[in-house]
Amino acid sequence: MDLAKGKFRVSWGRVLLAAPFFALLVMFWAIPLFQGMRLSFESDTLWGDSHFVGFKHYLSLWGDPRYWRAVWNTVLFTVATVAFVLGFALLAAHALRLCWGRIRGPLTFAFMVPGLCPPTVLALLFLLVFHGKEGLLNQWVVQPLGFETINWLSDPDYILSAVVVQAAWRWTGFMTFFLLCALNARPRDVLDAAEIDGVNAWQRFTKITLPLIAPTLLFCLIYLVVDCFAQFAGSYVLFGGSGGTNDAGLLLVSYAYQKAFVGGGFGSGAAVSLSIVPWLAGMLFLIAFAPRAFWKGGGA
Amino acid sequence: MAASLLAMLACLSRLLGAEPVNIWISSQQDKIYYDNMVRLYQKEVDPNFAANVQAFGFREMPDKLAIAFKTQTNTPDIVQLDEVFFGMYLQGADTPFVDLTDRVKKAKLDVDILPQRLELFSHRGKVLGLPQSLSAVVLYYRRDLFEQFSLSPSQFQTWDDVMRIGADLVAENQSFLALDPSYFGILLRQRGGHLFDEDGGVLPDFDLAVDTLEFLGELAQSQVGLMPDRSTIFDPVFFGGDVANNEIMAIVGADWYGLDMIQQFSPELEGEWGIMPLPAWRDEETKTDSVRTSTFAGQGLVIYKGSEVIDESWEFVEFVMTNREANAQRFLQGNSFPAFKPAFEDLRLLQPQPFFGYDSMGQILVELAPDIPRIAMNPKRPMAVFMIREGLLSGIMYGEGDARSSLTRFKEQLESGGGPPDED
Amino acid sequence: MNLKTIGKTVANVSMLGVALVFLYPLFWMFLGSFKDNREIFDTSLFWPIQWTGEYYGILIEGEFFNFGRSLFNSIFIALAQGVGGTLLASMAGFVLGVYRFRSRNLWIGIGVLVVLVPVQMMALPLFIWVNEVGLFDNPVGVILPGLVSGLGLLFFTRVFRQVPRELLDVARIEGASECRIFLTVLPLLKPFLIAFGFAHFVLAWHAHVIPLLILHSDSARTLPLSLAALFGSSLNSPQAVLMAGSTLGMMPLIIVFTVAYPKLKSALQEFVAS
Repeated sequence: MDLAKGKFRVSWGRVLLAAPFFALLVMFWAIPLFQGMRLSFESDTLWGDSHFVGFKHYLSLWGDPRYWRAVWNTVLFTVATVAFVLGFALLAAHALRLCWGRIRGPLTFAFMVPGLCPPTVLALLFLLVFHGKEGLLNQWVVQPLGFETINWLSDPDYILSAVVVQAAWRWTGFMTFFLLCALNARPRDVLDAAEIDGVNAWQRFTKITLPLIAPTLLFCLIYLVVDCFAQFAGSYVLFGGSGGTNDAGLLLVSYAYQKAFVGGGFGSGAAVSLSIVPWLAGMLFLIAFAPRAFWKGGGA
Repeated sequence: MAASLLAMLACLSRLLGAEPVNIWISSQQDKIYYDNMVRLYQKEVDPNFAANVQAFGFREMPDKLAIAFKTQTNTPDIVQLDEVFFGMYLQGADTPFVDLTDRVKKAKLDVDILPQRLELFSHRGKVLGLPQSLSAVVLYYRRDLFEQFSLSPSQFQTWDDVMRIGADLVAENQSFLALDPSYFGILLRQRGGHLFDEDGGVLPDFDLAVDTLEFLGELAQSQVGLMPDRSTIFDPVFFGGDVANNEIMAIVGADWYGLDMIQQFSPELEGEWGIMPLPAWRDEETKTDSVRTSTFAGQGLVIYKGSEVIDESWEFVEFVMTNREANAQRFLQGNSFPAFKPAFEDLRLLQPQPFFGYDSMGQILVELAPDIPRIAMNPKRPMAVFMIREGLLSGIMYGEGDARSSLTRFKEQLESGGGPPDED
Repeated sequence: MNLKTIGKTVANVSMLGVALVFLYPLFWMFLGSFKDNREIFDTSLFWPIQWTGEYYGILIEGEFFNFGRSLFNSIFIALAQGVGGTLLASMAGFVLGVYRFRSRNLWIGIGVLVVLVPVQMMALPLFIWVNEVGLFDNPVGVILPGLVSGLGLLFFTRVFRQVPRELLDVARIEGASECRIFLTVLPLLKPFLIAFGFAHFVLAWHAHVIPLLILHSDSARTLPLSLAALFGSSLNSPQAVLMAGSTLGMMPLIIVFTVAYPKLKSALQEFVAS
């Protein structure tokens, strides 16, 4: 290891190994990114030469109620999805460990399937699942439970829930799998010792398991948050870029799409897209620090 | 490999003197029609004509097109574009489309195409595209259900009749009309109102718009009108459910609804559908009725300004627009009813149709054609249509405000941030 | 019956139920490939009224698009990205994970940034840029950008950081160059390579936004793109063809998955244990 303090030495071996990745990064990511940023400072001219408008698009976002609606929806959606997915995945991971050995493998396999499904097929399927009266969700879940049918795709009170359900369906399997691996990786002896010492199940969970799986949990959390904030596919599958009745389901990525492709303003769209980065960073920052604060306050 | 194939093709076509014309279509079905038209054109006019017809998803085509025009990269020569998306490109004095005015005059299309439809794809006095369809809106009704309730089309002369008779039907647990957000624009236009005025102002006839939206809200709340689950009738599950279960007796729609959608999604109801003109709006003071039709959307053909084969493209477009067979096939293949007046006399278009109980859709459309209202084209139109689809009607139905406040909000949003401002 | 048995039974039954919910779409898709449009959209139906294989025929005969070609394109592009992306990320991750130098956090930070920026942001400028470089309508134009995975960089950095010091020390004492050390350590991390390779392969397979823009002609399009053109175009198109195409299209994914699964499992287990 070369902790070459004070000396500037170039190790060609390392450069050689790291170069292809970073060269392509500069070529196909950094350059387009700067172009995209530049676009966000240009006028919305669709045909003809655009001109520099500075921060005009960003400033207009500040006073745009639809933008803030999108921010709110995206945050709400992310929090709900993460809570549901991770909560359920944690439960499922524990449950899977209790399952008979022989079916455990195929079960885990089944859990991974949603991630492999093509989005266009999902679009068609979710249309059927979330439909009002005729929808599968209403027929098989809502009505049997005694409730009135819910119009998932047009009732503004439920639209965001539909997006959450769809995201949860797509991600729970993978997250369960990750957490299952994490649970399996816990050192047996620690757990056994605790059980012998008479520590009850809940305490074993909070004091031993949680800290051990914390890194994985964090990783899953980060992945989910990034996906919810930045992925367009889920909401596109349900609404095709729209936000539903009264923008109830409008997410930041859908708003960016609308600005660019329905309004014909690529500059505005780029501004919305770029504005996602600080929100996302802020959210991740909160997530990375909140558990630590909670831990410091709670744990012994 | 693709590149070398393309290069080979380019060489070959240059040898033959014909460079392929790139045509972008937004529907697989329409692509079949255009493939046939290319063959027809090769047979009847120019055997050396080469075209590359490509279909993309309905939502994807406008997206690809916007990017192509913005970057001036990978551009098509001819595009079959919906009028809703067409407006997006009318921002400045200049547009990406070829000015077809002179060519249209030479081909006498300025006389032969219904003026309201020709106007649809025009901007500042220049003809920029040609309309593929008439898009006249009519009322499709269920004969069998009418019979069951002892009703006849002649009873529905005005929208008041609809409300009145509808109320009786509701008492017997039957809804009359399917509702769709697009009806706001359709009905507004029928009464002579507009979404935009000449200067780009939104909803110049504001009170008329409020009244129209309130009427639709009343239809919904009284259950005379039934809002489909997904808030749109463009939904196969709606046909498989509400329609198949006889929950509604009528649908307001343009010619292409009946040709494409209704026939595709309720084939078992063959013979049970009929066609009649829209009920009119009666003005109580002057005792006059409005026209009995309206219009909505519809595809058109445009030619890209930067194309290298403008003349060849135009000749093909002219052919599709004027050729007798081409016009007939458009209807017969379930695409749309043409807006080309000489085609109105083609017996094939006027024949009675078994699907519609031997009504002749062509006959009714031809009669209604002169009454078709204008659509005010504007760069913010795509955003307006989008927003109407999103919130206006369903918002009211779910108790989010009343018609006046919804429309005020709509107007404000559209006027401020709805779309790109006019550049000059 | 003690609590433990009840608990076990509940767990088994509920997980089976959940698995069925997850598997449902696959099953639905498969059945759908035999139904006509009306049947597909009728939510009260599950099984096809008539099992007809005609849609598979239509698909393979290429009436709507060249199925074989699209499938080949998808496999080629996804495989190239899966293999290439893993290689590049592991190489860079090795450098960042094993060695300490002043600018290291900067490079890792860049990786984080790549993860944070939404793909949609890049779509339009990437399209322009790829075209300027002359790679439009060329699978390479999709592959090259796809080789850059921020998540991959972070993943492998973490992985290499866990490699036991002793291994590296031994190699270093023997005077091996960095490249040699890398090649020595690599086989030990096979499960991780497979795990990431698989994940990246799947993501590349389903990628939509960028391929849509860059791949234009029929002969260059991937399967998801060609199928998407079928969906939501005219309401006339038989959606069963879309189902049939998706079913057949899932085959490569499932094959790769079955091969990768055991390695995936052990890799993740080790990863999280660290």
